[in-house]
Amino acid sequence: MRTNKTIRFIPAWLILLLLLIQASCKNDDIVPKLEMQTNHSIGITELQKIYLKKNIKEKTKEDFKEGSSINYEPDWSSVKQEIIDDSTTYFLVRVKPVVDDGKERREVTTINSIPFLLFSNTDRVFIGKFLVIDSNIESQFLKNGTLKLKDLITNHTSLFVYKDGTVLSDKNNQANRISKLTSTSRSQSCITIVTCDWYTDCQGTLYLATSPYGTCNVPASSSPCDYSAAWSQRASIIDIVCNDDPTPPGGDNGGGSGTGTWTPSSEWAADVSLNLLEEAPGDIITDIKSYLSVFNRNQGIYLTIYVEQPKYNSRDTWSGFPTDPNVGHTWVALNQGNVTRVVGFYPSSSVNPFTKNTSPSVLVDDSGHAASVSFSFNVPATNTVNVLNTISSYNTLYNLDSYNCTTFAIDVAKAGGLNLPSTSGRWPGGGGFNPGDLGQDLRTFRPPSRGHSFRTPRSGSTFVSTSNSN
Amino acid sequence: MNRTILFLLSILIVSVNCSYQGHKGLIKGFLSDVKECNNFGAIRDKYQLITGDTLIQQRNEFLDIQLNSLQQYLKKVPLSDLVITRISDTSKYFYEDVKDGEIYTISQKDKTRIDFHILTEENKIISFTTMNKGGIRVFMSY
Repeated sequence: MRTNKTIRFIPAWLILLLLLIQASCKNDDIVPKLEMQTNHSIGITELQKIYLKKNIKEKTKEDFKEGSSINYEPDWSSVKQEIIDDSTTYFLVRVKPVVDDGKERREVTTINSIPFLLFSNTDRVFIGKFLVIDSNIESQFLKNGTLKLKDLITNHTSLFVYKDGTVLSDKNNQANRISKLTSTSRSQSCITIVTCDWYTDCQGTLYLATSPYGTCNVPASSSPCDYSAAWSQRASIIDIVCNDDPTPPGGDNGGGSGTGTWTPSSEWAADVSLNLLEEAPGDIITDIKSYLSVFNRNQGIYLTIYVEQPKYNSRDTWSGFPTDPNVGHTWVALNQGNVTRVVGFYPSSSVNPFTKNTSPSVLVDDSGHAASVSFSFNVPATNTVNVLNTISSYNTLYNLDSYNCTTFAIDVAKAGGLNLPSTSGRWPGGGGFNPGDLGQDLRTFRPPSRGHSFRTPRSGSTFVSTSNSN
Repeated sequence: MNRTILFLLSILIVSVNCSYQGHKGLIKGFLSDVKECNNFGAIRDKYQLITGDTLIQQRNEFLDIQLNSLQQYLKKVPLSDLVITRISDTSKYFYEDVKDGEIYTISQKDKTRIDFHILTEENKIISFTTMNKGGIRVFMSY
């Protein structure tokens, strides 16, 4: 009886439910028209920083012949982007191969392939080599040929066969088919293939040709030289091909995933470097003593003070939009032999110059942070412990006015035996040491003794501090 | 008993269905109000931007400066050109310990620069002001 009564109420509950849903969503219906888009904001400057931070130059370097190597130099003016899906955007940067033997730098002309870097958002970087079948390689780029895409983080390689701008769907079979020719080992999910490049020197100009992937055949095309010059094979490359292929990049016709839209970089805003989320430096240092334990406490340290000024070459204490002001930053890097550690002092929670100028503090690995000024000096062995202890026992409270990132850096330098100039500035709601003033002070600061060096780029914030894991 | 379960289920469905869009809707309403309304006191009250009890005068002064800046920006940009994006990786943002904080970036269509950030929690705007320290954003408290 009671159950029947409940059942009679169900339609009423359903109506009530619908009304509730409608009412609860009402706010969305009356709001003004705003277009929702997924946006992956990133600029060329940011790509350059990723390139430096992830050490892409070294990771793409290949042996050429004894005593020389091939470097792939990015052409940043060639950047194109492709939105793959809601969470992934590709940035394609063409690269120029250059042979460097330590004495001479020679550009290389590739006859049948186009190399490029592919950035997937800000976390993955690939080097791609698109091998074309046709002799007109530019028109066939990402349309007809084979793409070898190597993940520079995992070292895994993927192969994609393109036909008329579309990737043939059976990628694994393609890779398997190629691998059967030269496979050197095979595990459950990965196979290895060999790639052979050939070069010829035509009266000083180097040309490079690539055998079809999986073969080591001498290039079918004749030498580009006017006279008969032989092709020489350079060191072969062994790649691991696994079943974890990324989405291949598309061509002008939307190849690859079939959903991409390429837009030229010339449409990008020029000043994208300062306000992008992706510019953020490294992670919070959770154990500072462990982080610094790599240093020999009985040896000297090369200490660098880095300053990112809010406005380049200016004492301004902040710049930009008031709801997202760039207040700059000051941090330090310690170097001993091959070991480098980079440390910056930050507030760990909200602050406000008017009402709440303190916060618990936190140390951050500022590797990759671009600076506008730096000042370096040798810390004698007798002061190394002082420096390490000053960093390790950092203030637990960050104070916008009395103990901020600049104060921290000044204190570390002082522990190393050098009193840096310390000019106080003002900002809305407060004042104190700050990156704008310290940066300007360092530009003219020349202590009387001890080896030191001052560095500043010609314009803008362009050089980066990098820690390593040695 | 059954009716209670049905009622609770209804509330659950409603909250799950609309919570995500609610934050974007809240932000849209906030931006629209700031663009159109010169009475910043009314905006402060409507969105309960003040969360503490002390230094009310200083907070109001600070908020009005920020609202005025935001209004100047919004008057130059059509609302339809604004792109609101929820940030999934919040590790580069420092802010007060809010329970279910969500961070949104505001940028303009076809522009690569993020103009500002908004921190929300439980359908409430916690902060729309950050300090940019080389890419790490520290939200300002009110």
